Amino acid sequence: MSEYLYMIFKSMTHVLTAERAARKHGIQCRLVPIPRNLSTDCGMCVSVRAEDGEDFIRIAGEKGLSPERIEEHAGPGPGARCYSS
Amino acid sequence: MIYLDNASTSWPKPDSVVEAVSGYIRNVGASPARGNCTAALEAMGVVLDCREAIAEFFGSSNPMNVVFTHNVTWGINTVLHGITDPGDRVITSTMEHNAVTRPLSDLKTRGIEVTYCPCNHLGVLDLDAFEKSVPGCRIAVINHGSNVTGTVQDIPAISRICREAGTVLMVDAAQSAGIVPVGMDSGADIIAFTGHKGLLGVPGTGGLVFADRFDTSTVKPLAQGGTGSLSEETRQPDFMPDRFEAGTMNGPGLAGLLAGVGYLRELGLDTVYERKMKIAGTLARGIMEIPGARVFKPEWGQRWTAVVSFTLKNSCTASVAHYLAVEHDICCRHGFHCASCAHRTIGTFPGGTVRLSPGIFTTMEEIEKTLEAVRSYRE
Repeated sequence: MSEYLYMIFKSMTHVLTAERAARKHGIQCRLVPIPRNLSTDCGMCVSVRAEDGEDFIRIAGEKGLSPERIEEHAGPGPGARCYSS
Repeated sequence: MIYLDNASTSWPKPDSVVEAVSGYIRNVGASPARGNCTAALEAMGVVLDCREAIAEFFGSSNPMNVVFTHNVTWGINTVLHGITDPGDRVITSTMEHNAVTRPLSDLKTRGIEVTYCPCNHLGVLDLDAFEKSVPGCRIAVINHGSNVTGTVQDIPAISRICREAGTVLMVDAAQSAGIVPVGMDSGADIIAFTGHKGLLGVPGTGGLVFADRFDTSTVKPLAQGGTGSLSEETRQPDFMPDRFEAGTMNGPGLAGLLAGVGYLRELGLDTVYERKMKIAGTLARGIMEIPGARVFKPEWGQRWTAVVSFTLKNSCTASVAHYLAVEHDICCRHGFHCASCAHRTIGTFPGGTVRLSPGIFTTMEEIEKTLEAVRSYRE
């Protein structure tokens, strides 16, 4: 099993809302560009540790949001960096 | 200068609003939801903060149901044009602003029937007549606070009638938001708001708040364009809030609106209302005492948005306003205030009224000077 997950949402508003909510719950996550092989969209997605995946989905769900797509990946993500709101 | 045109746009703005707008322009700059640089993310963060603040202000549990538009007029147009089809009927009141009456006039040319429900001479909606006319209507659009008289409609009662009839209720909160309580707990399906009046933000901001139960897919967007999402597709996204937010967001404006709402939260709406009632009440009483003057406002003790509309016997409202501006540097509004329909209702058509609308920073000294100026007017 891969160490990280990409959580891909429909819109940047959704991405940022989910990422903020997850951070508030103490989940480490990063905003990263959506890899082009996963989507041609030019937006961003959230990279989380696989072990936090279920919690992240639950917390996003509490905001009425669910990832459009979830993909495993090996590292924090290309160009990954923290964004704190 | 004595600024008494807060019903048009509030001024001065709190320092925090000025700093937020200039700070955004100076330090953020980027376009929200476009790109992934630090500035773009920060810009998106400001918009999201504002979305959450507006949701909280109007008592919505879901910030995704807050849509930002250029102003309240754009929001109202979005809903009226987007929800109706030929053969539908729309109901409204005779106290509406042109932001409502003009799109409705346009809809009439497209096969949509419009019913104007009467209001009394103080601008209060006739609820019995409304209840009789609502069944079969697709949507009701009702002005919460009149920009002419400051009359506040009973939205909970109106929403109960609409709900029983299965009619969507959109509340135009342009004049009331930030002055009298208005929120989703009133039962409204949609609240249209502006950012630059009672909410103390800057022009170019406003929007819609949809109730969680409301199916937003029943409203077609008024404009389509870039949203920073689903860019590979040529169709407009169908999800909220992107469905209604085509084009670059007004980042500086929303930064200001966020600060404005924050200022109100800190001050407390009760304090705002109390302060405005004291100032506007003194002004209204003072005008009433002037021989030949007539003030058009709700009865004392009724909710009021603190606008003082008046006429002077045998005087042209334009001349009075011009005199106040030129001789006393007092800013006010005269004529119809973009609501001729309301003037027909309260009996001030075609002359209109002179409208003095104090803000939260208006002082008692300014009110005294204004009363003195009005007393000194001679046709």
